[in-house]
Amino acid sequence: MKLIQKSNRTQLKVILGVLPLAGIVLFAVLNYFIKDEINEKLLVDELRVVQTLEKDNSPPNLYPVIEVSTVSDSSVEQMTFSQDYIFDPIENEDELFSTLQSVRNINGTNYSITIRHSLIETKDLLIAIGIAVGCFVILIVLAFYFINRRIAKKLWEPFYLTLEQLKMFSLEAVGKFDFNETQIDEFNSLNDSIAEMTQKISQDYSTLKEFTENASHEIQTPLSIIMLHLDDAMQSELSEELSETIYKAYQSAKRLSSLNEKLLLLTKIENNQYHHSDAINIGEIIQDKLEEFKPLIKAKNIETIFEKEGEFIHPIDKNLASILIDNLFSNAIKHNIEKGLIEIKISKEEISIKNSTNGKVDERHIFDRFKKGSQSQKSIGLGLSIAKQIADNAHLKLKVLAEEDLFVLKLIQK
Amino acid sequence: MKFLIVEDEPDLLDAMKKFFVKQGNTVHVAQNKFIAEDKLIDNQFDFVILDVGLPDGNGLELLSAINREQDSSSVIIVSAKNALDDKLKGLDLGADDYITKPFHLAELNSRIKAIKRRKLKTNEGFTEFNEIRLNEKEQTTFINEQLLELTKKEFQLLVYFISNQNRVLTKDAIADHLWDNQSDFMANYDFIYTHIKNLRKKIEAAGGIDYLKTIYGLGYKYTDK
Repeated sequence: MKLIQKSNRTQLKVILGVLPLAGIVLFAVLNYFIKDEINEKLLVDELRVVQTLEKDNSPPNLYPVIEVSTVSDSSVEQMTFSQDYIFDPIENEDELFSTLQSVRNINGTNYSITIRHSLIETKDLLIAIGIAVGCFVILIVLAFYFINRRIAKKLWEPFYLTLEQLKMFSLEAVGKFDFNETQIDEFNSLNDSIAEMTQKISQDYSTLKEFTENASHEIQTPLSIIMLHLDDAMQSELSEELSETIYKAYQSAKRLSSLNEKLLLLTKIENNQYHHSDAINIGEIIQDKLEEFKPLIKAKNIETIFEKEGEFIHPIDKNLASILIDNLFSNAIKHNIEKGLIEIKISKEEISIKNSTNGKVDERHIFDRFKKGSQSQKSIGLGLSIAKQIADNAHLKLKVLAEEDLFVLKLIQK
Repeated sequence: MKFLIVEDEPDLLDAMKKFFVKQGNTVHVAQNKFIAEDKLIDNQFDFVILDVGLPDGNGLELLSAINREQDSSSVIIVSAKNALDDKLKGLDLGADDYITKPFHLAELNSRIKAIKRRKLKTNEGFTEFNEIRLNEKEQTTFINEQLLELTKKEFQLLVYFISNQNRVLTKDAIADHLWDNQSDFMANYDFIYTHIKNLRKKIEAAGGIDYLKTIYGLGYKYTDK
């Protein structure tokens, strides 16, 4: 839900709650004043009747508004107000009247004077107020809707601009945010905070990047020294036992170096340091690599089937595409069996690399780091993690399908 | 030949110096940019081996001094960072090749020899070893002046062996050379045996001598001693 919708709804709820209440208050107040006013008017009318009676003795009679009659019993002068329904011959229905009944002694005669005034019925009053309140509600809602929409667009514009820039924010892109100064303090403060935060992030990022590269550099140098010295030691006449020892040390140093290189590659991909995307024909890379890997495939007497139905073209960094295919191929060969099979199918939407394998692999952990598919000494267990990372980075889907003696990796255009 | 090795790590510097001196070269060393610049002004070198990460700056900055002061020196950049932009920049600035740490000395050696052959004229660009003669530009092999058909990998292998004669070469170094450092994609080095077996067979069939000795537990050595 948008913020404006949320605030609109709240406002509406308040209005819908408050307006009926206002209606009730309005009704009570109006009712009170109308009655008060009518009573006053009744008193004035009665006084007029009395004055008329005092001047001449013909009592005015105007049913149902004025009724004057003589009464014999000379009780004390009195005055009573009442309200009742009385038949109005003109209207031809019962109407509510406010009535003032009084007994007066005028010039020695006792008169009973009844003054009436028709009242607006409570029901009619309620209907009138209801209609007024209803109209108010509709008008206010409409006004709110249109005004808020206009204001929201205008008012929130700087916010959406900021959001747009934030979406485009890339750690790699140099250059700062270009926020326009707005008239709203909150937005200015938000923009300032974002600018400050992103600058800090960029700084931390480049520090981290530098650190990773420097750490790798620092590790590779002593490794180089170890390997050069071991290589040197190998040149002298050695006993078989010593040869073996030195070779083991040499291989471990080499492995450590390769591990270091791969972790650095993973970090670099994760940090989005490869962001030169060109439309690359990955199918073509596969064809080239297939040629390159031929000796390895032959060495295991693996049969290859290659089918191409279309061109698989995707925007990706060229080097990463090459590393991705290397890793997929290397996986398909490494975990293959003697006289096994590699089947490659390329279409416009997906590339599938199927290889025969020994025993079912656990699909869930296939992309985990350092998960080795086999106990092969040379395997580090980063190949498929790297492949996955590259695929994610290039917005490709890397799907795995493991069966009893088959393993399928699919590269799918999202 | 006269070498200048620019490298700040003394151990690495010593190992490289020892290696090239043993081959009969004159080797000058510099541990930083400042000394390297001095040496470049005072001497003419055939080869400059240049480390990128130096204590007083980026080694790539020395390339302009090399271009200015040296008549015909070849440059190999050594970097611990397998950073592509470093590589492209270095080659753009006139370096002849680029090698990443850690490297095998045999690899550095074969790259240097390859550069040397590339710079010679076609008819001189031969690698010779007793009855074997290789022309790298035309990718042809002769045994006792008889043409021998070799595959691309077999040819590469033979050039590598002859460039690094009398040296123990591990299977790993050979695989890295043939596969451009991609050898860790292999589960094992079986395929190298296949190439070596085929190469041996072809040379012996053409009347050549098999100079390749197997060194137990380590690898191979190409030698006529």
